Amino acid sequence: MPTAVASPPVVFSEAALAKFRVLLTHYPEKHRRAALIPTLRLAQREFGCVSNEVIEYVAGLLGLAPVQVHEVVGFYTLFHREPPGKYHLQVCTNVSCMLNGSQKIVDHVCRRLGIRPDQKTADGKFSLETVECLASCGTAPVMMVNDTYCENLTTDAVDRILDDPERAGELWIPNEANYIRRWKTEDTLIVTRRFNNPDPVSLALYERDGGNAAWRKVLEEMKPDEVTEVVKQSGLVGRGGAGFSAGLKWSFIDRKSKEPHYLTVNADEGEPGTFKDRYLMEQDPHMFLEGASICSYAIGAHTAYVYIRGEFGKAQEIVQKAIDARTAAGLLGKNILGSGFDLDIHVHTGAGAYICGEETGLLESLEGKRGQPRSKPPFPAVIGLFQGPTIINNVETLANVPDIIVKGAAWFASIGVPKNTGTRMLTVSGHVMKPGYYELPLGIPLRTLIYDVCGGLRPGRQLAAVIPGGASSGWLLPSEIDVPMDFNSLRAAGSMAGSGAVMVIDDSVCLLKVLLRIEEFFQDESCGQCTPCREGTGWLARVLHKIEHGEGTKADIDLAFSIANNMAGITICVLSDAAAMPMQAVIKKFRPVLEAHVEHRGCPQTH
Amino acid sequence: MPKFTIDGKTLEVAPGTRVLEAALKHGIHIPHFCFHPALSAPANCRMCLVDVGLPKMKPDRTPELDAAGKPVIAMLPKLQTSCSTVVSEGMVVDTQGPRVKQGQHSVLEFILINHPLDCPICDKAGECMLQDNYFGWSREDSRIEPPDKIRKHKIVDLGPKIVLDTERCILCTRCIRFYDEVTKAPSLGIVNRGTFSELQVMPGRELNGTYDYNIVDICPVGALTSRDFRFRKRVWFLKKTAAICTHCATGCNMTVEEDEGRLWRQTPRLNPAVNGFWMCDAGRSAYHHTLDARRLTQPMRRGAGGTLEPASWNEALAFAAQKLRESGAGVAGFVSNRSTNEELFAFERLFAQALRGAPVASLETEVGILPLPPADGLLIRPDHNPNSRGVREIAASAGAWTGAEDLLSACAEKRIRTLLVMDPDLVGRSPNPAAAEHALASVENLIVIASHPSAATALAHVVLPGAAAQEKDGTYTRFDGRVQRSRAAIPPPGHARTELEILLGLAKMLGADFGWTSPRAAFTSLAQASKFFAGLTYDLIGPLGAVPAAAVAEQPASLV
Repeated sequence: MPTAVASPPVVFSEAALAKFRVLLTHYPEKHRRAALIPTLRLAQREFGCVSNEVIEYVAGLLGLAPVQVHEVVGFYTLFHREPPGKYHLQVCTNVSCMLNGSQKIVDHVCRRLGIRPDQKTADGKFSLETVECLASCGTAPVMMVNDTYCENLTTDAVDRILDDPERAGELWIPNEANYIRRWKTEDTLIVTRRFNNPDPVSLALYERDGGNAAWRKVLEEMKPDEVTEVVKQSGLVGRGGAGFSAGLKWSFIDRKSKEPHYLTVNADEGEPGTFKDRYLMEQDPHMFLEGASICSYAIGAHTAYVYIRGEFGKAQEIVQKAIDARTAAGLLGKNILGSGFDLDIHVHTGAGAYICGEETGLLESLEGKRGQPRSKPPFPAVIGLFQGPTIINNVETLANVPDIIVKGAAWFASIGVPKNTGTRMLTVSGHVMKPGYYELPLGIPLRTLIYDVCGGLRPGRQLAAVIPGGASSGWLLPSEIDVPMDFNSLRAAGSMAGSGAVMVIDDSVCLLKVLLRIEEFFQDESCGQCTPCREGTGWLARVLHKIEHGEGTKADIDLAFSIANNMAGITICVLSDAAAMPMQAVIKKFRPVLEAHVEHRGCPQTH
Repeated sequence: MPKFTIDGKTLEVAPGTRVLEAALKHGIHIPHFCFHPALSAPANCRMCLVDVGLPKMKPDRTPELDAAGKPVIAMLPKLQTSCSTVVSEGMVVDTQGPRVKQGQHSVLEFILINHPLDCPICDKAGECMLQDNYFGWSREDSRIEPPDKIRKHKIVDLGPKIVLDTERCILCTRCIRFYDEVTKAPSLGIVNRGTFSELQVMPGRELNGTYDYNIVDICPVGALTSRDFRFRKRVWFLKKTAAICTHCATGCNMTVEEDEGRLWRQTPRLNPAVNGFWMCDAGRSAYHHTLDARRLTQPMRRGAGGTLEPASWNEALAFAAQKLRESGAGVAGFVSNRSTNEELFAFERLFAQALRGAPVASLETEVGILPLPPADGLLIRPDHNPNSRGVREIAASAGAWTGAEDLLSACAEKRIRTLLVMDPDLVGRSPNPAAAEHALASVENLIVIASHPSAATALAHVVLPGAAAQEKDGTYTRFDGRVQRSRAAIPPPGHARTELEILLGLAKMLGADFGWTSPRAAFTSLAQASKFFAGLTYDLIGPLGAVPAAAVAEQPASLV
């Protein structure tokens, strides 16, 4: 009989159990399952990975069938079924990092450690994974060492980090892109106004800068419907991607419903090229939390959740501290400031799934399930989180709300262009001299953004294409960059403003390679429930892969176009459309690039 | 009751009805996969896309009318899944337009690109929704090169009963929802995402429940196959007969499937009042009991040497009749709650008319003839016999029968000389098997009608080989009084005969004529003799059974 190696029993320590019990208090008693993903994260920290035994244990804790936990674990990329290395390296290989040499970083790590992606060194010290966008695109290429971001990577920096991974956070050299960039000093700043303050969690500093005035005003002077009306009048549209009127959305809340109402803050920033919400949370958590409080009041919610992307450890910590400070100061909790209004805000962490940025995928995830978007109708404002009427707003959207309340709808509406009012955080990455995030009035021309704001292209390079609103948006030709960067203008140009992620591509890279990378991203991130998206994203990626590697024919180009067309408009959510859009745009506008690959039997561009 | 128009036809439906349900009910077939009438609709396969229009509303919430006075219809910008779209007043649905066809073609192509197309060896071939939908709504050539298909796991053991082929799986989640919503014991899930999604059980566990085979039925493709049927038979050779499961008092409606007299499969047959779409694995597998090689196929008589020897039917029946006739007051009979109503009635008539009202008894037992899981509040009942209610009602209309204990005591005390037994296992099913065995051994002439050997047949002086449930026509009375008809799918093996034929043969030899010979006529006569069955006929019973007037108040709510 082989003697079994005694493995420690899978049972939470007292400290972990205490944390688990606190987690349970965040969710309604009959929706304990909502604690599943945070509990699994706790378990992964406790036990090193999520093994079968851990799944069985967590299922027992929450009264679930083990297979229900298993399928959730199998959906999210941050769960490790086997222990990773002591230092788990995650190198982003999505578009912005790719444009800035992430492949060199991956290759270098592989050479140094003698492993390939998804492998672990023999001594168990390092493991390597290539991952999707880490929302640090202005400082690409980027790698995470456990929970620590290492940005602006060079092979030298990688060497330093691998030599002393414990100090990874200090060993890369930040560049100025980490500081707020402002184009003209006279521009109005709203959401980034307080960036670079010495203590983002400090409530005293926030109030010194005028913070919480809106929250007090709302509680003292305004009825919920008046708040919604002001927001509606301001013209604020959602900054998450769809560009829908925030005030109108709030007005859809089902007031007749007997179920509790909820606000869910969408802080699951994952659209490749987007890196605004992470900074908003890290730099000024109070502003969006104040906005979230005001929204909760307007829609009659007494519980709000901030669903923060799993990778954003620092943001989770800062937002939690800010919530604690607000609760301690009586700005959250019971009978806030004597108004009789109660509100609790909880941080809820994701676990690695792009689709959880889709608002109903987010709700499913928050309820402890696979993040598969729901069929609509019913819309969340009628039946949302835990069956209650729910509003889901992006971090940046809510961060605008306090100023709108204090300075008025007309003030806000005077910024930007008609119907697309206010400022917007645009995050520019790729081949520009000064990548970074910029808060600019809506409607600034793309040309101005690239050449004036971001310092233009690198010397000697020609503009090849621009992705104006995240990986999901249709590409623009160099001849199309006079388009104003507001929602309506970009829609009219056949693309979309999306999440405000502008990726600039010069002539140094193969556009097909970039497109293939995007389609591989959608293949990886499709939740898999709808047939056209599940099968179409994979098929598209495989056809493009063939063309890129010289095995494609002209018929394959038409096939790819046809696949994309067939994927659009027939699925539960728009991920399928998002995968189709860049493909359709590239074939319409950049077909010669694909044809050249067919004619050259491979990529004609070496770099 | 909202009215809507579908392909030009105006239909009125119950509030909350979904477009697909309404269409199917009215003979408009919209292709679909993930939708199943007994399960929630996740709308994930996207096959049932239709064009939907809604009446344009004026600000006062009344419909806007055109010049002709008809409501102006605004078509929705995207195709909608008919399985998840609830009918609303004035809705217009198109299932035939070019946009719908294009959507259907696209979805079918996407479903098929990674499908292995191994129909020639797939057990589902011939009853596969993917084959049917492709034939009905696509028939287009594949645009994917075989090497570009994604390879997944071809043979995954999900447990002792079910094998999964993940390449054939279209991830419709019907099986997952079956466990989540019907058995309420979540057992399957999907892991990974997108094109790499796969159906799995929890690693280290297996499917080994009471209702697992149902997922094979509802799998729209050949992804889930039954170990009991896999690679055994092409389904198009199977002939189907509507029958009733006899292994508990629920009486699940089922289809018995045979070819050339050999049983291959039993599957549940929809009956909303009885079993819905489902049946338990034990009942479904019970046809193996009928296939048992030890079946009794030859009449036998105990010879001079004391061993059972083959006899002709004439010899066996004549001997039995002679002993019954000779024994005067020392005659008795045992029927059982496993017999049909018609058999019970024939037995009762035989004893009343030909044997001077000799005593008849029946074991009041819940023990059946096969091991079954315990009662579960779903389909399995504690009584593992199909016709305990029938015994009660027929005994009641005949005047009280004798208690089984009393009759066995009478046998043990040798007050009974000749005993006719029509119970499959009188010894094994009785509360005191040793006493029962002693009682049977004490009888001078033990005549046993049975399909399988048992302790009783071992003691018998005459064995009359009978039929298994799939081999005979007849009705059973469910626990709640519903009378259900089961039809013969195959003839009894060898020289075996149905119990009704055997009883009629005995009656003839004893000079009795009941005035009927067929099960249908037997039932008509029973309905005249018994208050409980009054008014029922085979025609009224039909494929889904009928409830006698006396039992209407007992009926449970519909399961579907």
